[in-house]
Amino acid sequence: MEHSEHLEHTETPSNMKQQIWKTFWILFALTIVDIGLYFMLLSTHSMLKNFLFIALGIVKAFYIVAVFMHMKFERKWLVNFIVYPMLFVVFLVILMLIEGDFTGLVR
Amino acid sequence: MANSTTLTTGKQNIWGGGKSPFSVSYGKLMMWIFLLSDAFTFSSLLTAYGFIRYSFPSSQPNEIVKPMSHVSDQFVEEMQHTGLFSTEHWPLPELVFNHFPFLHGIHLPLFFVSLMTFVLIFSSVTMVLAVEAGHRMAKKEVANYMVLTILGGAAFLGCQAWEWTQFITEGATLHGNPFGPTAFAALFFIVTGFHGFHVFSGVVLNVIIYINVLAGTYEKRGHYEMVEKVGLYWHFVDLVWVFVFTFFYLI
Amino acid sequence: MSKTHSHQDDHSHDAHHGHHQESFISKYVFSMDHKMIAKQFLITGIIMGTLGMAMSLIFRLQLAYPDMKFPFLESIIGHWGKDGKLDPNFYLALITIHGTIMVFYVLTAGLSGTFSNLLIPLQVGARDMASPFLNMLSYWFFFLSSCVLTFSLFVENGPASAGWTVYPPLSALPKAVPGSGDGMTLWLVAMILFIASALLGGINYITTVLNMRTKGMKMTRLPLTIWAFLITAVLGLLSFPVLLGGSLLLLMDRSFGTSFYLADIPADLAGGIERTGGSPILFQHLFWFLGHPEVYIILLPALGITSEVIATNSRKPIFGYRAMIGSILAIGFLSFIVWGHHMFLTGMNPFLGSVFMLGTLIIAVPSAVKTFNYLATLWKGNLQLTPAMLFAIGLVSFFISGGLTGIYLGNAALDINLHDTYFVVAHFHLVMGSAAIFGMMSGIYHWYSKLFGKMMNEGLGYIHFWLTFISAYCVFFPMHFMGLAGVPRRYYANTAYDQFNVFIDMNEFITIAALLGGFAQLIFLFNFFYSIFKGKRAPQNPWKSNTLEWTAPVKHLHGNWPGEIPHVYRWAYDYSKPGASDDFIPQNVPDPGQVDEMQEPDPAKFEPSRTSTPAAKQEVVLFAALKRLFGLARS
Repeated sequence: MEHSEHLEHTETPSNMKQQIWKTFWILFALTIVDIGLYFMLLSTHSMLKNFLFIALGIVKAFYIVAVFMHMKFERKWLVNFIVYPMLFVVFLVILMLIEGDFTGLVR
Repeated sequence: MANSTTLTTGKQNIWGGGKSPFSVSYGKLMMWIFLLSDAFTFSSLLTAYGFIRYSFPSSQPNEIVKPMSHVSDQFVEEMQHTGLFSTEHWPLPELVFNHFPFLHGIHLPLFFVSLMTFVLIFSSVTMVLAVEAGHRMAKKEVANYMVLTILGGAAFLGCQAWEWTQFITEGATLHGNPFGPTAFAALFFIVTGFHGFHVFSGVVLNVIIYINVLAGTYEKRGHYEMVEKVGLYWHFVDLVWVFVFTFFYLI
Repeated sequence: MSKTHSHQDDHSHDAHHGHHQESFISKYVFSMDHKMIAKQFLITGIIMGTLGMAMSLIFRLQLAYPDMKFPFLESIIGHWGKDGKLDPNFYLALITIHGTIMVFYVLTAGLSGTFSNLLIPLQVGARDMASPFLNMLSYWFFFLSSCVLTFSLFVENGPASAGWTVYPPLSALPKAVPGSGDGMTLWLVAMILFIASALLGGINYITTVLNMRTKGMKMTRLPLTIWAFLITAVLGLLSFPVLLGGSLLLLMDRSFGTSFYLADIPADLAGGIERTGGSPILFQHLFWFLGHPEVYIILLPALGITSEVIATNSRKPIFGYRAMIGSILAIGFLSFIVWGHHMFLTGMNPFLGSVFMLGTLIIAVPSAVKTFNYLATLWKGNLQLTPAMLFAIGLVSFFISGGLTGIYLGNAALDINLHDTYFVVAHFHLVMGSAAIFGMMSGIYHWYSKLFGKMMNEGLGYIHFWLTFISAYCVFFPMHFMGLAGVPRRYYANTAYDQFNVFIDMNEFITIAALLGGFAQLIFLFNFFYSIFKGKRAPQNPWKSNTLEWTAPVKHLHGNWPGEIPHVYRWAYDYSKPGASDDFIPQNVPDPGQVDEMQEPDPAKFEPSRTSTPAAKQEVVLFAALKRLFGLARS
């Protein structure tokens, strides 16, 4: 397969269509869960609730990236190259939440 | 880095040069890298949101308005009276985004935005089906799925336009709003606007791809990789929406 | 190997040129050839650099002679220099634009843009960048951005004057100071264009390095320049978008009445809209999330160039190749988690201060690894003191003396005293300004023959080096003392404070040294442009270097190599290899009997016998004496 620039194609599973629909239903269900939880926890205010929603968001993101964006079938290093830098964002976000809290305190 | 310690045997070494270590074409790798950096752009905006959101206290829980209950035309003023809307604290999203087209006067929190989410997820599915069809070189199927994707994107943009209109008619501007601190509406406009701009560019790209599919450009080229690359972008837009949805409507 | 945009390999060089005539526009203006784009970046960078340097000389004159009049100023800067007196508002604009130009346009685009473009395809063995078209766009966005910034000098209220860090509220309220007006808007527009350019370039650099290496060019055989450019591109890619987001919000604050960065501004000061609820510290965080990696975006390419130049001109393998890669990666990683050390005194949460301080001090470790590796490479080397080599050694010198003060400034407690004083100015001008400029100069002298096919004049190069080196130290070293005594940076004049009167002479001295440095750059400019036309023709491999670019023909051709791209059989640093007939073995030369590119030479075959190496014979007298002093030598 050396004839053109891309070489051995990363293998697409034969049941790709099936996987796509499965992922769609997972995402659908997760969004319903999101909304359901929102109404169940309407009157609670805790950081835990926020973490729950963020975790659900990350699970959804995982399915979108892994199946829809084909990441599950890519080479390990491409996955690392794209995923690990996002840790900087996590760092930035955590620090900025602390900082925002502090800003509210001194305002 | 990697695995090339001394005396590794040749052919298996994916980092050995002469080919892509990830086994992806340069175009696809570029798209991935671009999306990585675009993720940082969105992150900076969402970080700004988190910062400002956390510098304000949260609102009291809402025990007055129940879902599906009737709301009057003076809903916003009533909420200001009860103290649920105040510039001192961040408003509850359920009290702000509680409208649904053609169902005026009913408190329907989150229903409309859930619909938008489903529209976007669905258009993501049709996109990935187009990519899958592209692998099989099925031109007709690719074209059909592209049409569905474009329609989904357009529908999402329409929904967003409706929501913005609703939001603006209730008095939200970039420098003030009846719901809470100034930055509440401004951040909403900036972040959803920036996302909407991405959706819009995605729709434009999809239209271009669709025309090329019809013209048989990719069939001649021998592969439908361009559909795949634009597909990556489209899924990314969906991915961002997942987080916008979480941060703006749920938390 | 990419075939999508490489031309079919022509086996004869002349034949290639025969059927591939390009028009002037496609060859020199909208060129998609990476070597031409490198030249475009370099020359634009040099022009911007000259502008930035000239600005610094103007405000240095003001600082040295606050009471004197310079009638020539009026003819240069018009009403900003009425009666030969520099306008205080324009002073602020000058320092702002000087910083912006130097940091972004010269040391980011001019340095990494030039050398990434020139060296990445040539050193990894590719015909061109992954996407030559995006590469061309990258340059033209940069060019547009340079134009916008230059035009901003001519708007009525003067260019941006909030400092190169453009902190709000000065930058967010168009009426705050004269320079907060249209000049500031143009600054932001220029910056957004610049970010677009940096992203397009970065995407290309990363893809090319990862995807388009020639056969045998493993990641652990890449020259350190390429490693540096790769990590630089990654840093830019991840940090510039954050500034993009930040500038977007700033633009909204300026023009559309939002208050993301404005905490408590009454309506009459802010265009009729009361601004509450934001925080200027948010902007500082977003800015420095770019700003700190930016320092390494500037420095890493210079360090990469230095690695290459020092190894070649010491005729020795680089010391600790893998440690060098490791420290580049470590610096890249750390640069993202320490941005807050620029903000210790801005009202940031003190808890974060300690987090940032810890990370900052850890940066000293990989930096020290690099420094010691340079010194160890130089040690007992067969030094070829070309101008490029001198500049590279100069970089190491500045990196040490500037880096040490970084440890002071990284301490949150010490920063109370040192923040925003001339100590900071001295620190970053040494470690980031002078060091990176010296790396850039080193690269220009080293690869000039690759860029233009001509050699630069060595004699003028030596004069340029010594004048620049001496003047840089004379300018920036005394500033440490001023900073320790508390002289604040960015002040128009310090005459109002009696306690600073002791520095009047020192200020004069600095300015004279700066004028000397400026004069030295004129020598360089003359040398640079004169040699393009009248320089000696360059030989194939003037520095007897190992890397692949020296196997490409001197005369540029589209696609870099006539015929097949050379394959790579070894790392880039086989200098003075024991047992080899020559003191350098280019990367494309296989070992006797080596057929597989991936195979590493058997280390057992080349056990260095200390007695036979030429280096061992030339023991430097100083080190011999030191050894004896500490009883290390047994003989």
